Amino acid sequence: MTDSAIKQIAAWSVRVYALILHVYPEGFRLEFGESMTQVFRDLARDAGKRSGLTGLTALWMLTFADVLASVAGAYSSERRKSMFRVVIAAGILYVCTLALVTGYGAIRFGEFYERPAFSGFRAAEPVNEDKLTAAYEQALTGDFGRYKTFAVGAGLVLAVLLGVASALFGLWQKSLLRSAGAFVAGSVLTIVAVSLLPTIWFPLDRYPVGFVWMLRCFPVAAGAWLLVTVIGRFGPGRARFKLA
Amino acid sequence: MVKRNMRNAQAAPVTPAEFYILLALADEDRHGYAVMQQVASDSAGSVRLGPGTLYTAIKRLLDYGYIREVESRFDPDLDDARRKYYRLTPSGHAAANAEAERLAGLVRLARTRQIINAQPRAQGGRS
Repeated sequence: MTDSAIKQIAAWSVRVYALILHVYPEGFRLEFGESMTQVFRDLARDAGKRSGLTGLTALWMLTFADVLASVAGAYSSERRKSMFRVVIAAGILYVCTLALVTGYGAIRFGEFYERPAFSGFRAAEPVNEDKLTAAYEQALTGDFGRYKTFAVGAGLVLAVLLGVASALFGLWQKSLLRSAGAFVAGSVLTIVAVSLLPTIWFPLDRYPVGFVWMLRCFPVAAGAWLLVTVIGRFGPGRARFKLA
Repeated sequence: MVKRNMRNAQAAPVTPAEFYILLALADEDRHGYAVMQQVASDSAGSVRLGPGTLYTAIKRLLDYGYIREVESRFDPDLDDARRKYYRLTPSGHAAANAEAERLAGLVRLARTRQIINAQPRAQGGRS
């Protein structure tokens, strides 16, 4: 076979190899695909020069084995990177929801207790302690009057996000202890946030309404955490946990 | 990032292929094909990395901070294409050192147990 024919076959081999690279994950291919094609081109050129068609055939046999051996590793590292993105997205979503619920909730609580929101009411009108206490007791039983839908909905959304985000963090870190730590830290943050603003509005010497409200949602948070953790452990991704 | 890399350096021992790559980059910056050739030469042809194995290993080493990419340039010995060059980092040097120490320890142990540089104990003893 002539040198030019060998060069033609080598050139076609490079094109075919560039197509085969599509079996690798997209991120990996974008980062290293060009370099891998370049290396294959060097290998094909050297194999063709050294041993002609036999060399190119041997190169292809080695290349198939190489692709089979390396593609799983490439997917494994990409999955870890995409898992990181999912965890960050879940964390940001949770914090933004918490901020929205807390801010909106503060206004709604204010209206619930018949006080105009952010109007400097303390200086303008006296506080009706009896009415305030009655409304507070009512809220502790979960009765938020016409704002019940908001209170229940926001509580459930926050609880699910808290459970899911902390479970995803644990799956990413492959650690049950870190997952539990994230759950506890998220719970403390949530309770502090939802307790703080209503406390400003209702300076009663009792449990903040938000605290009681979030405690009611904890079974939902724990359920979401357990569900995502079990799916991550036994589902298609199968994270292998360490305790710590 | 530095802390993360240091933590990974402690947590992530390198594979034989990765160790060969670190050794190939120990004396100078190299591009992928040059690394591949150097590994084949260093291992007397026993370790031949394909492009897939080479770049998955390079990706791991980059993630650990053991190597880093330096400015792309031409290799005058090859064609006129720009190539990505890689350089060993101090943490990569430390990881290679740790792996070399580990292997040296195994060799010492093998000597102590008379696995190497020693006559087999049961030579001719069994029949």
